[in-house]
Amino acid sequence: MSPPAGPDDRDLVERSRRGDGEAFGRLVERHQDRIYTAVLRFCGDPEDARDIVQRAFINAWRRLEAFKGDCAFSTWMYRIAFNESVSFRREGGRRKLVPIQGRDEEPVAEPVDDRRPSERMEVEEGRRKVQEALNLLDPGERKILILKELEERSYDEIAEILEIPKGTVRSRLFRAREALREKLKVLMGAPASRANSGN
Amino acid sequence: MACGFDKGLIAAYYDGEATGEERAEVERHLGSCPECARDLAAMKDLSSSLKSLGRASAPASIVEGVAREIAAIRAVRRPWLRWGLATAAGVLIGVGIIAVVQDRQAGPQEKPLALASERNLESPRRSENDALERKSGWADKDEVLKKDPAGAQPPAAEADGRVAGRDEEATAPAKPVAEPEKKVDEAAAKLAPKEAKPSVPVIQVTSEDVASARAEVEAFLKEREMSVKPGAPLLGRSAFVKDHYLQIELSDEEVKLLEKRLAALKKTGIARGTLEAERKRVAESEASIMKDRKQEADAPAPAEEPAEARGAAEAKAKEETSREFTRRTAGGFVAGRKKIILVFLEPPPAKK
Repeated sequence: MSPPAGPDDRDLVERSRRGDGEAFGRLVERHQDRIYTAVLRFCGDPEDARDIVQRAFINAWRRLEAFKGDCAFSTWMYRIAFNESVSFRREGGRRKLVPIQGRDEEPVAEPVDDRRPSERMEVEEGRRKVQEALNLLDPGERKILILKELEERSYDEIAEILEIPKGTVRSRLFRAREALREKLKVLMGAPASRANSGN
Repeated sequence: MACGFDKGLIAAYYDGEATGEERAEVERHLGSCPECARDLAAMKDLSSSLKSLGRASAPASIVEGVAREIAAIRAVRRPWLRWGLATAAGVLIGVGIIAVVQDRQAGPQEKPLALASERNLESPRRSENDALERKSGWADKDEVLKKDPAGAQPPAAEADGRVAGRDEEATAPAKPVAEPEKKVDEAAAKLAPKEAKPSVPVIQVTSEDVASARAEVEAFLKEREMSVKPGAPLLGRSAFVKDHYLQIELSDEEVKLLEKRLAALKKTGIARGTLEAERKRVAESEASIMKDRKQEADAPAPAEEPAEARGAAEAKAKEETSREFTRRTAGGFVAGRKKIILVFLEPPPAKK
């Protein structure tokens, strides 16, 4: 990913802290896609993800004074967004996890798909199962997998975001991969779920 | 027979996070351990599966929502601004009262003009309230007119600074003042036959594909140049009960047309209701969720949150429900159009 044009995050944070709403708007625009993707994969529902990300940025604005700048703004944002996701899920009670199919979600870097409809459906089905399997993991496993596999964060960054020792990242990542592999094995072997068959 | 090799090290090797020494160790081991070689291959497969999910772009409504909330926070954080506004309003009202008193003292022939001044002094506030109510999505023009028909000046009269230009009015004939009044009276008379305030109609759209139903509504509104942006920024949704709400203003004919289009969608049902009935339905859903949640809480399960914190979260979610429920509006007031609420629902899951 190329470095963002214009003032760096530190600058924008400083200006936001002084009450510059426009600077904060630029921070939101700069980070929202990444944070949204992470949250979307974490909660599995585009609409929930939208609400969570919005709330996360608002919380960030409220807590800017507490942001000491000892980590990257994105690190801090991931932390807030994941915490927000967990509390959102709690508040929503038995909010069901819906497979990815919302209009709100538009993959950015997806190549033009010239496959036949049946092949496309198969790919889509595969994606749904992966998301479904992710949804079945515990929150800690989900977070670490998203950060490593989708956000391509280093162990150091993951340790910082999740506030765990680097050594724990290694072992937890291995366990999370194992767990996901197990869930996928079950889902791939099992008949399509109710959510999937409804379409 | 499980291999005792440090699996975390294999993960680190795969992720490019192992040191040179560790890499060499893993490579040596992989040559003699098919189990760990399989683990490594499985990691690769898993990565490509996860990457197939792709990246998503955030809906535009996030930036808009954040900007709106921040503006609200800033307004609350600046009490001096509110104090300043209140003071300014106080000064304005004070000046107005003096002016009215002076007008009244001037003699009986000038009385109607003095009353016109009073009206002008009141109208900016009413206009502001009116705008706020309309913004909140629950403004009722009937009600605004009924409250004080004489005071309902056309907005232009307020916007062009006639409060400051009272003296001009004082010398002008009474006719220009009477005309808008007449219009307002006519409008009020048209609205008067409705004895009780009619309930806001609600169209319940139950669909297995809510996204398509919403898209259909958005397309319908777009055709009529109503401002619903893609990504559903105006489609509110309660935080507690997972339904989607949209408040719009449509004429009877448009409502019928929209219903027809929605009914033509696959696996979609349309039902008419009222706001009261909808509120009742939401309350019942909430009660049912609370009941289920209580049962879940009573069951021995690993709790993530202490009960009191969960209670607070529930109260907050409930509060948000009502806020979301009343916040969103699409389209503005157009003659002949009435407020209507659309609620999009997913059919309840079939019970086994």
